[in-house]
Parts: sequence; structure tokens; C-alpha cells
Amino acid sequence: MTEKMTPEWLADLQRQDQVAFEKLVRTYHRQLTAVARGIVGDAHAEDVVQEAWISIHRNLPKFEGRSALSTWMYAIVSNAGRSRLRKDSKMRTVDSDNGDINLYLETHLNDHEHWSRVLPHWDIQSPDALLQESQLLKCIKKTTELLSEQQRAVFTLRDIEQISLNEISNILDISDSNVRVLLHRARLKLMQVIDHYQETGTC
Amino acid sequence: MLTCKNVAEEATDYLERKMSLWERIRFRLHLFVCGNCTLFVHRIGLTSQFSGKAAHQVASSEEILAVMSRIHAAEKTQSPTPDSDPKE
Repeated sequence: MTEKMTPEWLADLQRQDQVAFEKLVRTYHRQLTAVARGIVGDAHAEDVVQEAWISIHRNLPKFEGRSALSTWMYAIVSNAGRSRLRKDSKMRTVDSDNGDINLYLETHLNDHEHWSRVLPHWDIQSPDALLQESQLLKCIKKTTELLSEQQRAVFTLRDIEQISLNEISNILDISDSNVRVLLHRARLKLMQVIDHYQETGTC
Repeated sequence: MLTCKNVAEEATDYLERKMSLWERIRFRLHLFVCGNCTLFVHRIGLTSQFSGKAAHQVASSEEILAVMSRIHAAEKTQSPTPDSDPKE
């Protein structure tokens, strides 16, 4: 899980301590890249994140702590992504992935839009207990990589980084309702992975 | 009256507290009478909590090296990137 920022770590970062900064890159690079993909698509995400890291490194001494450091970094990625989008408006990705939610509803609901069967039992009920299942962890990591770019960006910002929906809407430049739709699609896909694991012990 | 399909589609709106008071009352009334929907909403919440912790990834040594190399190169050339400079 995301390593929590401490005052000592932040102080080291603001002194531009290299070890502290490498730890920051290690902790956030994949998540920043996931968000960049949601903004500019896969092909240009790496460039956008590299630009963002340069800006983050240069501006850390000036960071005033009015927001969480993670939120500040994601805003930088957002700015870098939008700057790239202004250069190429065709780059914008649109999430058209509604297949899974429709399939889930078709297979689990009857013609009267009620559940056609009782939901299967889950043996493991708490997040901490689920975290002990190493195979399930692999399943979840693999599934998040298969989410659409925008679903993964929203899931990263909300469920991994715990950023508010309003902030996510600003970072990704999409409406609040679109954020919630994308988030729900991502969560439903991941819930089905846990469903399957609980029933079969496999991904 | 809400159907189970409505609940299945709106569970995240409910969990994220993005419903009006009336919508929330209607949603809760349905959960009160529908065990399956209550279970579904609970599982979406559990999925959110668990997956958020499970899905975090750390960068590889190669990725870290690539970032640091790019930063050092940028410092040498002192190339500005004003569009991404943050305004707090």
C-alpha cells in the first residue's frame, strides 16, 4: 500500500535529498503513470510523467503544504497532460467500456430487474483478511492493469490514493458524474475477481 | 420504487454520499427489504477498501533510474517546463 508521507520525509524532499526523492519516485511513479494514461492515453503517458517528475523535483522546495503532497503531484501530472493534449486534441481518450457492467446485470438479474439468485457466500469478509491471500493480491493487481485507462486512473486516485471525487474531477478534467461511473465500473470488475476467487480459489 | 438493477448501478453513488436526501432514503428503504442488495453494496465497499490497498505498485529500479537520469539531464540543460509548474 502507499507509504504514508511523514514530516521527516517531506523535509528531506524539500532539501532535495536524493534518497528521499528516489523513495518518492518508487512509491508514486506507477500510480502517476496510471493517471497520466487516463488523461493522454498509453502512448504518451511516460513522457508526461517524466516531465511531471522534473517539475516536481524542481518545485518541491516551494511546496507549501496547502494540499497533500500526493494531490499536488497529481495536479502537476494533470497540468502536464493537458499541456500535451493542447498540442494534439486527437489524443483524448474516451471510456467506452460498459460491457462488463451490462454483462454482470444480465447474468445476475431477472426480467423484473431483481436478483435472479442469492449472491454467493464470501468466506473472507474483511479487507485485512483478504490482504493475506497472496494469490488474490496477484489477481487484483493483474485486473487493475486490464481496466480501461480512465477507469484505472479514477480507481488509482480514489481507492488507492483516497483523493476526493471533486479533486479527481479537476485532475482528470471530467465531470463528477463521469468520475463516479468510471469508479463504479472499476469496482464492479474487481468485485467480480474477488467473487470468483472466493468460489474457486483462482483468478 | 427502486429495483435491484438501480441499486447495482448506483451503489458507488450511495457509498460516496453523492445522493440527495430523498434518493438516499429510497436507496436505504430498498436495502432494508432486500438482503441481496445489502450484500452487494457491502461487497462494493469491501472491494474498494481491499483493492485500494492491494493494487498499489512500486516502481522498479529501472524506472527510478530513468526518472533520475531525466531529471539530471534537465538540470544540466535547465530546460523550463512552465505549463506543468504547479500553482498551489
